[in-house]
Order: sequence, then structure tokens, then C-alpha cells
Amino acid sequence: MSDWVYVGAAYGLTWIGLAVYSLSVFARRRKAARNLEDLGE
Amino acid sequence: MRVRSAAPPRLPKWLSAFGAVSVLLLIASQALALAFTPPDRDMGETMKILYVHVPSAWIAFLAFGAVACGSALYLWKRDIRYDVFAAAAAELGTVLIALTIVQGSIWARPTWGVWWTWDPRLTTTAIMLLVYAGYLALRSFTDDEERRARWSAAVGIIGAINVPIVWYSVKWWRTIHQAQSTTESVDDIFLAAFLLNLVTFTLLFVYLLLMRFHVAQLERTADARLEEHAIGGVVHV
Repeated sequence: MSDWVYVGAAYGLTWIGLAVYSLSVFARRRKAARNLEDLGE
Repeated sequence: MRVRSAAPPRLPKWLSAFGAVSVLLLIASQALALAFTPPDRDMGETMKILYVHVPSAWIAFLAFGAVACGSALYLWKRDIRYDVFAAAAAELGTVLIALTIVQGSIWARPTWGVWWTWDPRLTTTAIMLLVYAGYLALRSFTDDEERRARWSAAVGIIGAINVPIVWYSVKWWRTIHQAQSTTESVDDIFLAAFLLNLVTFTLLFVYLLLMRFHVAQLERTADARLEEHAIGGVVHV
């Protein structure tokens, strides 16, 4: 396989991993903020 | 007298801008490393994996250092915010050390001919992943906040002992994983690209850690409010 396949896989998985983690943090933030709003905060 | 729990934490205004700048700088530094660094004499283009592999490992080590600091401060001050901070750092560090292992495995295949080998560096890193995955699992074993914080602090401090072991494993034992490069052993172009990515990954780490800590505090406040409403009483946070 070409070297670039391995490079692309390593970079791609890194970016996907970081993006998924970041999105999960933002989703948890929205959920907590919504819960506080529902309680009249 | 009814005492309200603490007000919901506010996100510092500068943090969003800091995060946006961090992401943009990281994209630019990654693009520069991919487009402008030459292939390595022995490893060819696969050497470019270094620009994500080492920074990922570096910020995982920073995260586990932060876990140990937060844990020690909790045991000293008994302030639950230090435990919340340590847990936020442990989660981030676990994600990053898992990514480090995956990147290393992808790099190992064309370089060593195998996806995985029980080399001392790889084995100690796998143990590190298991320790911090265990730390996160441990936190779900009890609903008692103080007990959870005490148990977690013990694991957070003991687990950090593995950080120098992973770092020095390539010096202490016979290993096929290469030892740390020095400024004398690499050309300036590789060094510049590497340091640039190390700095931008660190900026992203700071942003994600502060954001995760903020979210954890927000969740804690929301849980306390729900409890207040449920029992109609007073909950201190």
C-alpha cells in the first residue's frame, strides 16, 4: 500500500476522534443548559 | 431558611474565541506539516504520522499530569471542584492515549511489518489506557460524591506513576520503538513542523480541558437543582 494510505488513515482517525469527542462535550453542555432552563435558571 | 445552591458556572467569554483560534492554528500547522515537510530517508511519507502521534501522546501525558494535580489538591483541600477537574482531564487523556495507540499501530504496519507487538513502550502505553479507562469506570461505582472523589484521587495519583515509565521505557528496556529524537538528530524542517504541531495541539488541549471542566460543573449544578426541586429542600454544592 502507498505510504499516503497510512498517513491518511492516521490523520483521518485523529480528526474524526477529536471531532466526535468535541461534539459530545458540546452536546452535554446543551443538555445541562437545557435542564437548568427547564428549572427556571 | 432556604439556601440556594451555587449559581450555574458561566463560560468565560474569551474561551470560545480561544477555541476557534486553536482549531484554525491546528488545521494550518497540520496542513503545513503534510504539504511542506519532505519524506524521511528511511520511512518515506509515513514519517508524517509523527506530527499527530507525538503531540497526541504529549497532551495525553499533560492530561494525566493534570489528573494527578487535581487529585492531590482534592485530597489536600477537600474541594470537590478539584475532583471534577481531575475527572475532566482523565476523560480527555483517555481519548488521546487511545488515539495515540491507534496512530502508532497504523505507523507500525509499514515500518515494523506488524500492527501490534508487545514491545515495552507499546505495552506500558496500553496499561496506561487501561488504568485511566478504569479510573472513569470506577467513578460510576458509587453515587456518594465524597467517596467517589477519594477513590478517584487514589487512582489518579497512583496512575500517574506510569507516565515516566512510558516516557523512559525506550531507554530502560530493549525496544523496537525508537527513542526520543533530539535537535541534533533531526533536520530543522522536521523540527519546526513538529514543534508547531506540538504547540497547536497543546492549545487545543487547554481549550478542550477548560470546556470539559465547565460542562462538568454545569452538569453538577443541574443535578443539584433537580435534587432541590425533587425534595423541595436545600442542597449545598
